[in-house]
Amino acid sequence: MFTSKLILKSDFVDILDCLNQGYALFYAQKSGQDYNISKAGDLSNIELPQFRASEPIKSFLLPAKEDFDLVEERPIAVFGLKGCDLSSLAVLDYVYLEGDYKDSYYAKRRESMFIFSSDCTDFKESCFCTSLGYKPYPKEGFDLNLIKLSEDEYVLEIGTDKGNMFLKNNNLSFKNINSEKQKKIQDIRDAIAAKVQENADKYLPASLKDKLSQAVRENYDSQIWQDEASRCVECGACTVVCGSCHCFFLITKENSFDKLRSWDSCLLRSYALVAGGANPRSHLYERLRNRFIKKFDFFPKVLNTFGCTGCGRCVNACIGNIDIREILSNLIKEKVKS
Amino acid sequence: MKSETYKITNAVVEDIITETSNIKTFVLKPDKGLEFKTGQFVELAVKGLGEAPFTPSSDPGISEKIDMTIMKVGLVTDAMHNMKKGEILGIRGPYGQGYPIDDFKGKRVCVIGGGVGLAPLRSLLYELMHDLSRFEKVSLYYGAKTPKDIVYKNYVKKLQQEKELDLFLTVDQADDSWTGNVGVVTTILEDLNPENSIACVCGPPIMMKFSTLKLLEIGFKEEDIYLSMEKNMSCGVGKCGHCRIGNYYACKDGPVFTYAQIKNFDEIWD
Ligand code: SF4
Ligand code: SF4
Ligand code: FES
Repeated sequence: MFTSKLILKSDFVDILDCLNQGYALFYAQKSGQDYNISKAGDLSNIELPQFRASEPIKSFLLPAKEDFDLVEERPIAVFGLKGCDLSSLAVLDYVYLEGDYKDSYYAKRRESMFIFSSDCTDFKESCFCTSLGYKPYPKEGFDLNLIKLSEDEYVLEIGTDKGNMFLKNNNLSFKNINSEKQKKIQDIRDAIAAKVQENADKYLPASLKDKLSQAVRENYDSQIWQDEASRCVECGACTVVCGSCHCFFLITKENSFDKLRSWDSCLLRSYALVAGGANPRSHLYERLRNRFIKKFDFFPKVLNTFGCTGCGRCVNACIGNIDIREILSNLIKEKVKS
Repeated sequence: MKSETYKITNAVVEDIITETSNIKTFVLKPDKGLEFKTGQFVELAVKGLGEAPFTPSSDPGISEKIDMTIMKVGLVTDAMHNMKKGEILGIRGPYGQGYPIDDFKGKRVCVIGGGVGLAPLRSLLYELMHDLSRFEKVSLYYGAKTPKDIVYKNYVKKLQQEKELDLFLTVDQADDSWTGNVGVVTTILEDLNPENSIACVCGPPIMMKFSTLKLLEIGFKEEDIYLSMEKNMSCGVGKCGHCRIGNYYACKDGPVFTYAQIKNFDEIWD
């Protein structure tokens, strides 16, 4: 169990102010129907965001275009991350920190980043974290997490020593919550989880979770891939916005051996292209299928988790209306059929 | 933690040997010695242009000078072919697992190559020949398109004189000078004895596919067929995602896999 403190709205603004002193603080702000995380804007008007922002956490750990030679002056703190963002850390950490080689650039940012997350109080229509076994509130991976009890009352969960030290160093001390509030947190959490699930189940019922890997595996030759890919314009937006998509390519800088790193997309033709022109996935449908195999077959096998956290960002990003929930539920139906 | 991932070491091009019309061997002298196990690969970089993965073809016992045999197939390799002695390439690695030489002890080792696929196998042969008494037998089966396309002509000539090693050559199309076998590489695999044998295969995908099928047909076990899988490696360290084969990444789990490991995955021969 985390240490949990009872705080007021004004305390939470104080916390952000202090973070803004020690870190390059990025925070979520409402823009239209969405939240965007940026450095700009007025901190004093800040609200707890209702659901995830458009930017996934990977944007802060792995910049879209990264110059390995540039050194960031200040570590980053992010406010506005949600359960689905923190779930994607399992995938990113596995890729970038495990094995014989750590990625030194990711490791450095991961280590220094301050994560201030919060419980979802609402959801986007595309949210389906519950269909994949996740909850709309963070369970781990945060330094601090914020839970809204009422318009003025919040609970601050302290997840790490880093979170604890930050509060201490800034003389921010709050009183512990009592068991009555603890109970209230659980009720609030159960209610939002039920609400998210009720909506998500319309697209992909949570009860099908354990059938997903098999459905992707066994429908390798299904017509679904070609049908769905016919609407894909190969823009790569789904992989750009995805918090668990981690692929990149290296660019050699002009006149040197130094490098830039840029996000890559397995949907693009160039992705699997081998020198000499051979391409094992020359058709778009093969590349679309590959994305699902990676997320629902590869990651469950190597890491025992999906390479998708149900954030729904790709659903919103796709201009061809390709919907990951729909594909998954169709695959399951297809498998049952055959 | 190794400090800076993806960092390049400079390597001087000490010599360039023209092997065939589109294949050259570059003898590189890296600033720091580069120890590698046979079958592991490195990333070679051309300044301002890019990198590509290659498997050294030289003796893994020598870390000061490394041979890289490179076929001209695209932007990066074109630029390499235009380089002159004394110029600088970048190198990083080695990456991957290489051949499990210890598992070959006491066995008949059949080395099967096609075209430029002899490059990694030459490094393997150097390693095997450090002490042939470790194995029951070592033989090389090599096929090229035409006699002109045979790489390492001098090395192959030397091997022909080697009493301890059996050598079988074939070409798809003969010319007047050719007195040996004519036909694809599988035609010289017919008489292989699968008993107590392992095979290491490297070559173009189509050649690897048909060699594997032939080996299985004559009784080789799936776990005794070692394939070097070239899969568009980029980062070399299991991060960038490009080289995935089923549950594996060719760069960190390979590039050498047994057929048993990968047979159930799609796209392996593409
Ligand atoms: S997917 Fe779940 S955790 Fe993420 S924003 Fe939606 S409800 Fe919250
Ligand atoms: S695949 Fe789509 S829903 Fe899943 S994590 Fe990525 S963007 Fe979110
Ligand atoms: S080369 Fe990047 S993952 Fe294998």
